[in-house]
Amino acid sequence: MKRLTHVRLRPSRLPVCCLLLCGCLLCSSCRERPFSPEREIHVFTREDGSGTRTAFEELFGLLETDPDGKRASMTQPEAVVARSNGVVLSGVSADPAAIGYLSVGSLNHTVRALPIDGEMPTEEAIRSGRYPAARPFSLVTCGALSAPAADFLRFVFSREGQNTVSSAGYVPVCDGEHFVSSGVSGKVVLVGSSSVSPVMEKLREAYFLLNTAVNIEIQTSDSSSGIRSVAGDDCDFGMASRSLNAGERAQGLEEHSIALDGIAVVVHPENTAAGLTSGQVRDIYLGKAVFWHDAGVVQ
Amino acid sequence: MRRGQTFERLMQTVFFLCACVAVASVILICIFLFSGGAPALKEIGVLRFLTGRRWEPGRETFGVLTMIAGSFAVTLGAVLLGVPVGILTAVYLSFFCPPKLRRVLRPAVDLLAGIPSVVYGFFGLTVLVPAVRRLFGGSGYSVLAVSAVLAIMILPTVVSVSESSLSAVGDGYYEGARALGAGHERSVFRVMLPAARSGISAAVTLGLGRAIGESMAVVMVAGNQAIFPKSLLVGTRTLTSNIVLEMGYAADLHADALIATGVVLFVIVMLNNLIFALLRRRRMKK
Repeated sequence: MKRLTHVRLRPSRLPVCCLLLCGCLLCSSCRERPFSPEREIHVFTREDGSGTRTAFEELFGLLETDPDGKRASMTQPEAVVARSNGVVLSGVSADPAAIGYLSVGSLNHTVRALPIDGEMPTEEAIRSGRYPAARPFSLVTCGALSAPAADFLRFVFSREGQNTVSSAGYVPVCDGEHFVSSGVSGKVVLVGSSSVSPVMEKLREAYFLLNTAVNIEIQTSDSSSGIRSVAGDDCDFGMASRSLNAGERAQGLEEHSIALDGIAVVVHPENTAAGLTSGQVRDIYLGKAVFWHDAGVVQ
Repeated sequence: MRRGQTFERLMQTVFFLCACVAVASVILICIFLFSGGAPALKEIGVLRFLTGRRWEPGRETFGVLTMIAGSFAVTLGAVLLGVPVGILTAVYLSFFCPPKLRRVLRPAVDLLAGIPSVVYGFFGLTVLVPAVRRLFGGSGYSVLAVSAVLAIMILPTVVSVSESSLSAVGDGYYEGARALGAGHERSVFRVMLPAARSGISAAVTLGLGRAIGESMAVVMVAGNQAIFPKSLLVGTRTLTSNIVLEMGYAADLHADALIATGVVLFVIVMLNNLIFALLRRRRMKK
């Protein structure tokens, strides 16, 4: 007898149709629940070690220092950990009850940046220091610069360089003068923060248009290892998205702040919050404020 | 004659070398992992590393118990969701499916195996996470969403291994059952399926291995909180996503601790494969 591979039992059409119909109904009936102050806050944060997270926690008092000098994050452990600014952006833009933070350079229209202590993260507010959450992007140097490195640094602080910073979405630190390259040739190596490297790539492109003879190499790791390599004379500049600490200054390192980056606190466009104080942001990230009305948000 | 023999020898060496590549890779990875992870394990303490509930790189506190729990939770969820569907699909494909439909279904299942995991992750992020959030509340980044993504990812493995083990069962079993008066369904579910039992458990073990080792798709939908998954609707962090998440920024002991996380994962996967090998040996004996 030949093995029966199938029986003539077709799935009846009725249950299949019913199933499909149910599926469609389920999909259409479950819409996103609208924002209301009674909803729980869905907190988004970044991974441990990220420059943005460190700066955010520092600025909002979310770091506690142990007796032995180690600094640890106090962000509530239930917060969703996103791997990049982009993930925060897509997560917050999809969820009306979400809150997150990201670099102002990565901000776009899919989310709404909240005023913090009454200040929007505008270029002007960040530059004047009124916006409470801003950090410097800096180039760290150690001792005398090589000729091509000095030329590049001069470019960064020139009008052209600072315009590049501004068009990349960050806040320039000075107005600068017109740049004329000294025409040197050679190689410049930059190592450090992954937050700084995107704007540095743009600066490299702009510099290349003015002086093609200098070869600029950008290695991305993090602020601390960038500072370590420049101290060890392994590169010309360390890129840092935080300020130098006392120990690093003692090694004779110097920082040149090339741009300011605001950290924007973002929510879904439907969120009715008019703004938050830094204390409220802190409470949200500590897990003290669980619902939106705990953070003073009304309909 | 002699030339042929030399050629034979030569090719034998070539084949031998090819076989060595795989073995050497495994050995090299072992050496790298254990030598990279050992200093951290020594410094943190194996027991403290394995049973620590807190992962705080800033404080140099490294405990992976929550992540082991997370890995097991999402894997269990994936197996619970994916295995019944997979086995029933295999049964349908081998015994009930009209040949015309089979020509569509079989390649569809195989195609599922070829989709890159990032795409699964993206699917999870854009479809499953919002669906979970809308249906059950919470942020949507949850054990449930990860389990669902992983369930789909292990389907092709479970289906194809189960199906091949079902077709490996001798026709005599089916014919005997029918001759004794059992109907088609009864023969399939009471005779064929139990006869393929060890092959099917191998399918489950393989699926398990895939689920526990998946990183890219998981890191996108899991939420990645280093906490115990107390409910299906909270997020969790698995061993794999811990490595992916923090490798970019880690330095010193933190980086070593991540490699040690890899060691833990490696040991778990090895145990899983050992179980798979034992199951297969039992099937061979039969």
